[in-house]
Order: sequence, then structure tokens, then C-alpha cells
Amino acid sequence: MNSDSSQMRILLAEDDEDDRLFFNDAINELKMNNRLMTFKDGRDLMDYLENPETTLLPHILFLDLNMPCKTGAECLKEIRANPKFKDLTIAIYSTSSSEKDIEETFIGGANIYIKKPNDFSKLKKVIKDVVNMNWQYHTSGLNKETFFLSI
Amino acid sequence: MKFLKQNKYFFLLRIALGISIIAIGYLTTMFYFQMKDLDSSFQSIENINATQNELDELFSILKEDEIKLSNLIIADDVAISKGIFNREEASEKIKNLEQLSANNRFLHQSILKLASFIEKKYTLFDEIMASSKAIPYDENTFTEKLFENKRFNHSLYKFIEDDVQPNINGIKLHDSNYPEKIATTRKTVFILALVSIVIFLLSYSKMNDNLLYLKKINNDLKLLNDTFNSAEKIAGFGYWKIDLSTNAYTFSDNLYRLLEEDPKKFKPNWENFNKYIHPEDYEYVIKTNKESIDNQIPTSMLFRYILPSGVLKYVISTANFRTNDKGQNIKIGVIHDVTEQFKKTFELEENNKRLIAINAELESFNNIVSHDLQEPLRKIQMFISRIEANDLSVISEASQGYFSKIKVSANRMQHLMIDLVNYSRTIKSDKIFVEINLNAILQEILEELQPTIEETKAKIAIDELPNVLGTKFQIQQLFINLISNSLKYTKPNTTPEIKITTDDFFADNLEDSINEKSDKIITNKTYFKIIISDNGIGFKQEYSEKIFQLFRRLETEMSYTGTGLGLAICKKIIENHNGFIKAQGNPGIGATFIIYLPKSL
Repeated sequence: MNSDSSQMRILLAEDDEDDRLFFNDAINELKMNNRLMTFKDGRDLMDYLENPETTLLPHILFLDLNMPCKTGAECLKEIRANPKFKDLTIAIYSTSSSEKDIEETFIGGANIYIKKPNDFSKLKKVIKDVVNMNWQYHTSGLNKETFFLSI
Repeated sequence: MKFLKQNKYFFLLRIALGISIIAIGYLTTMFYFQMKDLDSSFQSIENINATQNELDELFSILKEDEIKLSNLIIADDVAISKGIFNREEASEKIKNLEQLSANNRFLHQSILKLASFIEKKYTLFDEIMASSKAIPYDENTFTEKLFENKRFNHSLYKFIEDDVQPNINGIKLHDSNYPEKIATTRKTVFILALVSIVIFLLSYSKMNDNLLYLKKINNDLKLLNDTFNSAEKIAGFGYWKIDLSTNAYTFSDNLYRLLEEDPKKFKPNWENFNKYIHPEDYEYVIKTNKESIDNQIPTSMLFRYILPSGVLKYVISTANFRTNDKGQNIKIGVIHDVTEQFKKTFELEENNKRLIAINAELESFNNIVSHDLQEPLRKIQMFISRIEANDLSVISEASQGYFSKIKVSANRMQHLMIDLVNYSRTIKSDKIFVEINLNAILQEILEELQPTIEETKAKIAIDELPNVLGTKFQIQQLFINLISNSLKYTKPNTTPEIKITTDDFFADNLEDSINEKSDKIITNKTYFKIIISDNGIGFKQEYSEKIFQLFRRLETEMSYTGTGLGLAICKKIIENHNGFIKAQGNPGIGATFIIYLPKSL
């Protein structure tokens, strides 16, 4: 894995090993110029982000909600409270599609909500769409309807 | 009101009584004076009779003395002349006459004059006697005296005739209306008796009325009391009363019964009652009661007491202060046995707690289904998709068939779980209704169903739809399910057509329009009527109720997959919105679903 600063830096916080594997495979198969880092829980993620040695900030964070040690919601709150990460795009990546979770993460400052697909090709499509999305444009017109990404 | 009237009535009665007393008093006084008058008339008549008598006797005496005088002159019996006249008797008569006439001034004066006449008469007698016996005898003087006597007699009789007798006659005449007076008195007595009888009769009748009335009131009161006593018994309450000025207690019979004692078993007082109060509540009751009496505030408290049999009772005791008609301050209280209610409430509370716990469990079960169960399934599907994409060709044909069945089963399980979650969400839904734009909702749904619509080449025509009140995700679910159904149960080789139309609807006509028995009708409510019809395989009309049952699937070809939950969810959602859903089917022609949603809550 090279560390080209022009690469798209993508983070994934996900406690399920299989899901991390699917995600990794999908990114690899997409053959995009990007670099993926995965974390097994929220604390791992926050340790990395808050480490002063982390100088190259990520572009996009895929954040699972149900995680041990520190949940996705807690991470979201901490990240959005830190001005350093104001440009970080946060994509919620969860099995749940409950109104409550969608509402709370929307208010919490997440940029998009993705329900984990049950088909590998769909997963690839989702990642491609999110990575290629014009975030400036998306964020300016963000509302609750466009927040939930329908596949 | 009745008592007020009664008071007024007593006032009138008093006035009548006063008037009667005055009337009787007046009549009695009149009667008394008339009697007195009669009495005096009677007296004066008697008097006059006596006077006449005396006068007659006086004249007899005078006449006798005149005769004696003649005899003496003729006989010239001087020796016996002294003391021969009845002078004393005449004086006696005069004195009697004076006494009898004492009440009549005129008569009395006449009598006094008469007395002087008589005095002079006897002086004349004496002078005649003296002149007859005078020595020398003077014939002229004697004759003169005799003439004088004759003249005097004449004037005396004249005086009597002209003066005394008229006076007596006058009195006689005056008293001659005596019978008239007696008649007047008789009348008075008669009127008096009559008035008395009338008053007595009136009083008696009035008193009788009053007695009857009192008796009636008494009966009513007795009945009321009986009613109250049995009401007390039936309702399970008892009352007590304290006269705060005398500290006298009254306990109703049922209060004793509530304590499982015979009525009036013990003296009604606070100490005797307190023995029954549960020791844990004792202090509270005593304190509350004392504060209530000190500050004159009403009380309402729930406490327990223990019966002699050891049974625990819950009672509500409410009490308030009143002033009775004597101005005494009394406290009246009711003790109500609420043991049953209390137990029921307690049970209900327990059940409620259990229900809340069950609900919470159900919710966590929901979470398990919606998240924890879906998670491994999703991964299975993910692996399926990976194998399908990369390695399906390298396995045997039979295994490929098995693999395809694995995939179908996994998909079916996923749908089932999604539907189950949706169904359970409709059960516990909070009824927070907002205005929903159906047009926008349907637009979203069409976008969501776009792949299926494209696949089936379905034509969907939607009218301009109203804004309805509801929970958004449920209304959304409702239309997704209905449209999905229409897209699913299509006829082969036919372009599916789905029409969504709308109409206003008033509940009065509901029976007629759906032409079947409805389980609930809310009249006088206007509804939105939304009709979703398709040209699919339809169903037999006899299934129009059954298709809404949970897990009920009609006998269709196996090519139509479904969980049997979709329409059950629709019915549940419509019920949550106080509406109705009806289905009309025609096998081979199509199905129509009619939704009635109330315009206002």
C-alpha cells in the first residue's frame, strides 16, 4: 500500500471481520486510486484520528453504528465536535435502517446513510457512488430525503 | 322549597289564631257588659217595685192617721192623743224610700221633698190636735187648721201625683226594654258560641291537615332513611357525624357492618373506632384528623383497617364541616370500602407493569429480528452473490440447482423478516399524525419500485391525491404493499395496469357503497376514499375478508411469492388511522382495494 498524498484516503470502522473483508475486496475490485484503512472498533478509529502523528487526514469515513468499545454514534459526535475534521465526509454504514438511527445520525452531522447491501455488486456500486460523489454539491442540498442512499 | 312554604303557612295560621282570640275576647267583653247591664236593670226594677210598695204603705199609714185624727176630733179623746199617730212608722218608710231612691237623683229629690211634706203633715196633725184641745177653744183657729189640713192634703197628693209618681213611672218605663236587652244578650251568646264553634272547627280541620301532613313527611323521612340505609349497605359505605360543640358521635348502622360488628354494638366514639385502624396507618389518620379539626379543612384519606376476623380492608374516608340549624359546628364523614377496587387497581397496575415489560421485550425482539437476525442473513446473501459472480460455473449442475434454491430461500427469509418487522412496527406505533402529501409519497414509492415497474412494463395512472393525516412511514408502507401486490399478481402476457383514483366520501353511505356488512361504522364523518385497482389475476370475492388475515395466502400458483403479511400490515395501518380497507376481487379480471381514511381525527 503506497501512501501517495493525492490518493483518496478512505477509512472504515467496522467490527465485523467479514464485512471488512467484503469492503476491502470491493475497493480492490473497483481499482480506484485510493487507500483504505480499516478499524475494528470505534476506539481504534478515534485513537488513530486523534493521534498527532496522523497528518494526512482522511477524505471519507465509513462508519458502522453497532461497535464494541465505542459506538459509531459516539465517534460521530466526537468527530463533529472537532473542527480539525470539518471537511471529513462521514458515511454511516449500518445494517439498521430504523428511522431513529437515520434521524439521529442526520442530526449528528453525518453526510450520508448507507444500509449495508446484501449483494456484492451492490456494495461495489455503493462505494463507487459515494467515493465519486461531489460532496460539496451534495452537502449544500442535503436534506433528510437525500440523506438516505437508496441503492 | 317545601319547607319554606310550610313556614309561610305557619305564619298565616298564627295570624288567624290572633284574629280569633281578639274576636272571642271582644265578644266575651261585650257579653260581660250586657250581662252587667241586665243585672243593673234587674236591680232597678226590683228597687222601683220596693219604692212603690213603700210609698203605698206610707199612704196607708197617712190615711190611717187621718182617720185617727177625725176619730179623735169627734170623740174628743185628748187623753189618748199623745203618741197615737204612726209618726215613727212613717219616718221609717221615708228613710227606706230615701235609701231605695239613692241611685236615682230625681226620685231622691222628690223623696226628700216628700219627707218634708210628711214632716209638715205630722206638724199639722199636732197643731190641729193642739187647737182642738186649746183652752180657751177657738173655733176659728180650729176650723182654719182643718182647712189648712185639707189644702195641704190636696197639695201633698198633687205633689205625689205630679212629682213622685212620674219619677217612679219614668224609671219603670226606662226599664221596660229589659226583654229587648235579654234578646240582645241571647244573640251575643249565640254569636259567641257560633264563632267559637267555627274557629274550633277550622282549627281542628287545619290541625288535622297538619297532622296528616306531618305523618306523610314522617313516612317520607322514614322511607328516605330506609333507602339511605340500604343504599349504604349496597354501596358499601358508612357515615359518621361529630357534633364538635358537644363531642357527640353518631355512627350509621352500616359503619358498624363495615367493621363486621352488629349495629350499635359499641358506643359511637373516636376511641372505639380507632381500634380497628391498621397500626401502620394509625398515626397518619390521627394526625390528619386533628389537623382537619384544628383548621376546619375537609379531609380525604385512604387507609386500612383490620377487622376482628383479621381481614384487611381499604377505605376512603372523606369528611367535611357543616353548621346545623342550631348553629352548631358538625363534621360529617363518609367511609367507603374500596378494598375490591383497590385490589383491582393494584392488579391492573401489576398487569400494566408486566405489559410494559412485555412490550420492552417485544421491542428488543424486534431489534433482534431487524438487526441481529438480518445481519448473518445479509452475510449469507453476500457470500452467495460472491460465489455466484466468481465460481458458479465450476460446480456441478446439481449443485448449481441447490445453490439457486439456497439463494431463493435466503431472499424469502429476508422478505419475511422485513415484513415481520414492519408488522410489529405498526402494532406499537405511536399515533403522532401529521399532514401527508400523498402525491409526494406516491412519487417516492414509484421511484423505489422503478426496477419492478420497468421489468413488468406496468402502466400506472395516479389521480391528483389529497393530503391526509397519518404517520408517514405507515402510509408509505400501505401504498408500497398495495402497489407491490398489484405488480406481483399480474396476468401473464398482459400489460399490468394500475389505477389510483380518489373520491370524497361520507360515512352514512358506507354500507350501501361497499354492499356488505362492515364491522365498524363511524357516522357523521367524512372520509377520503382512495381506490387502487389493477387488471391482475384477482381473487374470488368470498376471500375479500380472509386476504387481510395474518399469514393468509390465497391459493395461487407457486410462481407468486409472498409472505402473507403484506395485506395484514395494510389492514393494521388503516386501523391505526381509524379508517377501513375493503377488497373487491374478480378472478382473471383484477382486484380493487378501497381505502377510507378519515378527513379529521
